[in-house]
Amino acid sequence: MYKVLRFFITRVNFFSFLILEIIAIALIINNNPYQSSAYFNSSNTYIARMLYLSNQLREYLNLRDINKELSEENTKLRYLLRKYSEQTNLIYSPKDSTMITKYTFIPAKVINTSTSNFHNYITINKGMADSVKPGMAVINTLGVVGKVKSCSEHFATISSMLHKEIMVSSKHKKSGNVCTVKWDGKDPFTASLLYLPRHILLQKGDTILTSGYNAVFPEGEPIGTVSYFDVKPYESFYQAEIKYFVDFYSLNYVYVIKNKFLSEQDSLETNTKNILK
Amino acid sequence: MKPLEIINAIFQFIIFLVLQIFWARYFVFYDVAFCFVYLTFILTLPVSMPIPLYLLFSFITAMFIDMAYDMIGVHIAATVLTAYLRSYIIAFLTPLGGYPDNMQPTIQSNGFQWFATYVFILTTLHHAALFFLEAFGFSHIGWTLAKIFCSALFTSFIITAIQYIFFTPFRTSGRKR
Repeated sequence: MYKVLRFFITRVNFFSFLILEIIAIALIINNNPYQSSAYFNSSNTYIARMLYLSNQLREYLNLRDINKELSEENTKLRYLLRKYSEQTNLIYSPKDSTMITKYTFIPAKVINTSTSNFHNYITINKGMADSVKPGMAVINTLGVVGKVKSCSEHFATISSMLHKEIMVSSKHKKSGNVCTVKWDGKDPFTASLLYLPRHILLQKGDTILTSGYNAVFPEGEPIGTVSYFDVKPYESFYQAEIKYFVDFYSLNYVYVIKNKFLSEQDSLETNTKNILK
Repeated sequence: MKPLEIINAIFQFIIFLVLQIFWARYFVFYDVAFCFVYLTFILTLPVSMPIPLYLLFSFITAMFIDMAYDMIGVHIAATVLTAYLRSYIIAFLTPLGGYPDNMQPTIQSNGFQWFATYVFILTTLHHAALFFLEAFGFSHIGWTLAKIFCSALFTSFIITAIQYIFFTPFRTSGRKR
């Protein structure tokens, strides 16, 4: 016992140093979040390394099962890829942020179309179940397609732009002047442009857009380009023709546009008309 | 230790603590050179002091510094290490003719050159322990080494200057050679 005590007493300097240092280190690790986190992190690193090593070994032993799993997953992904690549045409990005809030787009597939009649209709695979209603506008990525005429539970009929009764309020893109597009029943690629005043400088290739003056079509949807124009000396409007952007022979996917404020705008306009009468 | 030495030590303890906490703490150059002027007190305590008591003294001093710097333990560990190594460094720096009797680790007792070397070695040790404990690893080793070197230079310059300015003129006669 005496020897033990002597051992400590002769080395009292060193042991006092050791005790004080141990206290200091304990204080560091207990009180400083940075040091303690570093301590736990570095100790964790070794554990993580060990886990990684054992995982590698197991992986090597189970290669057959892993291969099988991967090929199964591949098949599944392939299927999904095909499925989604069919749907990618449906993705539409509206240019205007207000359009996003005001208009919602319902993607649909065209299942029937005609171009050779005076009144051409398109049938799509979305109906009342998908909240498609008569009067809604239909477009595709190129431009305006038509207006919903009637719908059943799962299908809808669209009066296409190749319909003699349909007139679309439109505007000349450069000048902003309002005009009307109407199909004259002959060529499925061209329509006549009505009521464009003669004082406007019109050129071939000028773009015609929807005006947004009725509640059906959003403003600025492309319709076509001017392909021919003439002005008679005694007329106040141009005689002009436009070429549709949309090819009605090869319609595939279209979007039905749902206007949130359609009924509001319509009722307001009819009320105003009634008052003026 | 004589009673006068004890009073002197307590007086210096308070002075350097106040200096460190209220002045040297804000004295940082380019984020690398720190000034730990409280080491003056630790380094100039009489050699005749019993080592455990000396270690306890440095422990208490560093504890106050740690409280001020808000990093409990780091200064304590570094300062206690420095204090423990001091006797070895003094033995290592023994001049050719040996130390005079009643040697004090001050400029008056051992001259400027000895004191500067002594201070530089011990501050470097102290700062090495301090900054490596603060970083707690070797991930920013270049930055840590830069901090250690610059702070050691800066601190030893300040400590030597303080010794030179405030403690030389008095007891030149006390130097026995």
